Amino acid sequence: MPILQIQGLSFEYPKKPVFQQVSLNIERGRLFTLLGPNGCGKTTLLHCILNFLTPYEGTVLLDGCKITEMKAQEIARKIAYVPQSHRKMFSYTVLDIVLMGRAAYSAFYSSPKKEDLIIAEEAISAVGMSDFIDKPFIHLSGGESQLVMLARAIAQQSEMILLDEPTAHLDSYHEMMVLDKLSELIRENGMTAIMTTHYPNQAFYFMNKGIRVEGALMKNGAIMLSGPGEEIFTQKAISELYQIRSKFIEIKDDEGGSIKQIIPFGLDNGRTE
Amino acid sequence: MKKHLKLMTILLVFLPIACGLGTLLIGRYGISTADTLSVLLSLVTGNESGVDGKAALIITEIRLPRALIGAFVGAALAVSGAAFQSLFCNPLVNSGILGVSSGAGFGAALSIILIGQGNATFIFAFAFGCLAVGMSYLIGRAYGEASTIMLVLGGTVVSSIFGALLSFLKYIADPYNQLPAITFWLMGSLASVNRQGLIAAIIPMAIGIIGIVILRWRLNVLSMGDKEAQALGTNVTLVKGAVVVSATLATAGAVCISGIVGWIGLIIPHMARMLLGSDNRLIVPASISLGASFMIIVDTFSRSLTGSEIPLGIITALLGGPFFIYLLKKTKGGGW
Repeated sequence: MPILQIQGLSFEYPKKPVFQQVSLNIERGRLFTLLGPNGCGKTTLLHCILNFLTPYEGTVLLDGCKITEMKAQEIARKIAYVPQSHRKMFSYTVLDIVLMGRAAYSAFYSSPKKEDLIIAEEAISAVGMSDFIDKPFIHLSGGESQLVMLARAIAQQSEMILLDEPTAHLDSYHEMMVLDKLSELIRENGMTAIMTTHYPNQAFYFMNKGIRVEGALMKNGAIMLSGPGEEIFTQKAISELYQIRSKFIEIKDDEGGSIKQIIPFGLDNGRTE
Repeated sequence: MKKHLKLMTILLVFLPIACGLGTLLIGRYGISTADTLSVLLSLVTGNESGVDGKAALIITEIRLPRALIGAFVGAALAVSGAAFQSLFCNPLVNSGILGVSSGAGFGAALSIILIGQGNATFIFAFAFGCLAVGMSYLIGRAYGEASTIMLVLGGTVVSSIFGALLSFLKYIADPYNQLPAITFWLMGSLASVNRQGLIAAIIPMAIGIIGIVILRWRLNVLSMGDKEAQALGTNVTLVKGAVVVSATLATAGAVCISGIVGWIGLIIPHMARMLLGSDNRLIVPASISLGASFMIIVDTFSRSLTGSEIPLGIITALLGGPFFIYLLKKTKGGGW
């Protein structure tokens, strides 16, 4: 059974429809990438999966249970969430932030215990941020704070992780750092990940690493195409999705593997295919 | 870091005790340290202290109750300020954000006009303070879940409504005895505290403070914003409600006995953060200690600087205002 089943989901804000009849199955241990133009409803869909928002139609089944009937604590033990941006109002240390990943494992009136502290410290070391453990989170760079968010997700010990454009605003070095850590989590810890992104090439990055990638292309409030990454991330589909002109290239990398890329190079001026 | 924390803990435990003992020695009626200590000792043991009766009475009936209530009021205001700052993900809010002070001010004025100043004033102030928060919360919930921005808006609206009603009461009040009573009440004072009032007001404050102490780690999670807090496995509605109820009990209990004392709920949590970082597991107890100490000191000034009492609100604002500017300068308004 897929870990997450989205069945006929429709959501609207008052007087503003967002998406209709979205159905997707997310299989265990894979990466599911969600692509689509700005405003197509990707983030809203993630928020419905997390039960922040209630769709007016359709259901989300997490391990066969309706998400709307689950408690926040039950959901958090199965899904960790890495939001697009963080409020940075208070000067918490990295450890304070990662410890919050343990909130799902204690009653609302209790504080984290010794074992929670150990789990948090291990999670921080797993993303290679041990040197920053007592540093204020607000002083970290964008890439470093995303790694801390991954550490928090690891501390949450969920099977699944939802990431909303995790590499937006990051430079290439930090983008690779985050993607690399994420691919490690999927490959070595058997996690399932759902990631929204604007870059089909990120999907290729994971495929090149031998991870099974599936995905969906979302446009105008509907799923335009979904399936295995190899089938949907084609030059034709991406061009149509973003209404751009693009080329697909495949070249050998230094180790003899292949690097696939879709390169956008212009607007599709009114041409329809 | 660990050593620093230990030293801080010891300091923060002893600071309010030292302030409490210190204030017993200060006042217009001179009582020696030895006499003060023997009166305190006699309170514990139950034996006669042998100190002259008037001095003993001043300690047990005036200075000690004021020190105690001052400690509770300061702790309650500081800790609920810290709680609201996390709840609203905003380090610039204070304990009055949901309208508790305006509501209490209106309640006190109403009782002074209807019944005259007395025990009813405490009850009215407490009840209207709680009512104002309840109204803010209901307005905040008007659009489904009580989102932060709606709560703030609700608090602002309710505060200004009660502010207007209070102005109306002042306008119709008898200008020779009622209006001064209202005005002095609003400026804040612990002078009217007696033993009865002390016990009655300590109960809600103690419940509120304990509630926030229990929830202190969840405040960290809540300060990440509603969505993240929920995704981390927190029942946001439940915890938020519990924090609001606790902070309201604490603040309303404080305000009903002390009148409007501004600034403590804002600056004390920040002082705590400057010393210890942002983790509410430390900030909440530190705010209790610093708030209690600060209030005892302010009240000591209030009752001993001049022949008549200087209202608390004046002293806290004179100390708090410049300190806040200093804070803004130091932190450049961001990155707390």
